[in-house]
Amino acid sequence: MNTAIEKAASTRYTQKSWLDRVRAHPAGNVSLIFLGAIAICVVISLAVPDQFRFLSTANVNVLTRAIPTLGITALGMGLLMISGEFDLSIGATFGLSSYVMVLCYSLGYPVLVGVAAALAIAAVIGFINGWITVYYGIPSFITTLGTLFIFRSGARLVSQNKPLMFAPPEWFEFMTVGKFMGIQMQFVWFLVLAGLSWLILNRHTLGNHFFAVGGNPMAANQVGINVPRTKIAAFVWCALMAATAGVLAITRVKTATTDPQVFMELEAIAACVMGGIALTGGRGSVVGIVIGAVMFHLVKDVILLARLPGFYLDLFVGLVIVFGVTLNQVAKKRY
Amino acid sequence: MMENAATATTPLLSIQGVAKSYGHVRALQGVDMNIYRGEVTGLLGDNGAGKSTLIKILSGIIRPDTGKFIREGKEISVQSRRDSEEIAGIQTIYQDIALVKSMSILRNIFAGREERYPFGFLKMKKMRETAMSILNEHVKIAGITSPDLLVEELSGGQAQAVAIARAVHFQRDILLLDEPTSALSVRETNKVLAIMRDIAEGGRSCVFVTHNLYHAYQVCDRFVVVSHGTVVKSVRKEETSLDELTALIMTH
Repeated sequence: MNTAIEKAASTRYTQKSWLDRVRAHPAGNVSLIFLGAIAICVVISLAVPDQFRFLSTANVNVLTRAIPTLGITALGMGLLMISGEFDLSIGATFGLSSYVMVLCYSLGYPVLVGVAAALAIAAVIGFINGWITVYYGIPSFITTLGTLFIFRSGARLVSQNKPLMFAPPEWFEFMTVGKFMGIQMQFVWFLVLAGLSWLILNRHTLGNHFFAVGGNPMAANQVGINVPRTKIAAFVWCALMAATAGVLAITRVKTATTDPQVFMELEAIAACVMGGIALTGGRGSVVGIVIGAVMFHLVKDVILLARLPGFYLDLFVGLVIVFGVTLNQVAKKRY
Repeated sequence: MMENAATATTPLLSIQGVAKSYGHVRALQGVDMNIYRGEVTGLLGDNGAGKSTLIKILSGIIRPDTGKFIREGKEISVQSRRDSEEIAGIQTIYQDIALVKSMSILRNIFAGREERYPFGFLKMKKMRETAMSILNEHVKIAGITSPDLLVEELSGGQAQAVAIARAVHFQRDILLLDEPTSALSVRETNKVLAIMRDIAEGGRSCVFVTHNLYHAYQVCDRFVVVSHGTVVKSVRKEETSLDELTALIMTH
């Protein structure tokens, strides 16, 4: 071959640096920001432990109690978003299913029957959301905006707006919200469910299908993947996670109410977007979802510790979403 | 060539009298077509000639009003996409929607036909090994270093080659390629044409659907020209010329 061509060909492509390779991962950018933020917090709290109690036991406890509710709902939302859909009704699912658990228990059924009832209700809600969305081709934003109000009023109907006390057996309380070797059990559940989500996405047929139907439903259909069934499975998973978060949260506060969980769905979506889950579907990782959820509470925590006004949290989340999405868009154009 | 002539006696697959109407439009009005082992068949025709309908019927997406499928002399029934793959042995590769761009090559190769343990868990190690062998053996795809690359990181030709390699690996006898070269550069086109030749010479067959006569003329052994919902010419390469084919497509 012509030596001039050979020379040009050999110098045309350069090796990607390690930084580029990390940033090419869906959760690459947020992981770097996250590690940086943690490092800064640790350094400051070691330097001025009395002013900034980041590493104090009390603060770590607050964090590990707060993260799981958002984290678990985000695991559900994240896998659903990878499949190309959203669920705005998770707050209603959260309230209704946990209320039903407490109701079952107060009627004298074993607590695990209550949990099963909560999960069953969530599965039905997820199925309804998914079925309406895929079989009638309605954007899931609209479907679940509607079902949000329907299920919320359903919860009100069941509860008659009366809160219910919940005093579960000790073993149940320990297993869900107790402390084991200094670690909050809720956080353990969050990590276990994150592990399960990772298995589903990366080691299970369903995960492969989630990515395919979210990335390109036509191609997924072409290779014989049942697109409607896959999406419905993702809706059911999302609702199950919302119910699980509800069961854990209600067991901790020991009172079931059906108060509207305002913004629960938007916070879950925000955590996912921060963690690099594409709003357009087909991209994302469990590492990203976990980091997104932890980041959300980390920032909230820092703002509290630094005694800054609360609106800084909203400002930060807003900026991260806008900048995060913009960065991804810019990156896509460059490569 | 002698061997081709000998095997050409029994078609691998033939369709006979295939007709399909949409309302008052007769998209296909009785089409006969033979596909032979070891050959690349060019399915030619201008837009609106009925090519797309024929492709959809061959790949099982729509069912013809009348007509039959005959595989190696035996009549078969093709009622669905799955039948088209498993009974007729046709693997269709669509123009733009063959792969999910946001997924890795590995995930794409096995999408919809994963190697599974019980309960649907994936045999990752086996899938990875298979993917490597697909990338290295069936079709040597230049520049693909890892099955973990996302398809969107590949060039159009590489992506098309991955789609073809996947189809070849899953052991179908007939590859139906819908406009595989329409979005490719010159070099990528040559690569894809060479892959089609290799597949045919390896004892399978390709149906190359295109309206680019020059690409078709480079690789095809046989041409089927469709116009106004009928086959106006079905001819071996030796018996025709580029000029005649051009004239057929232009005038009808």
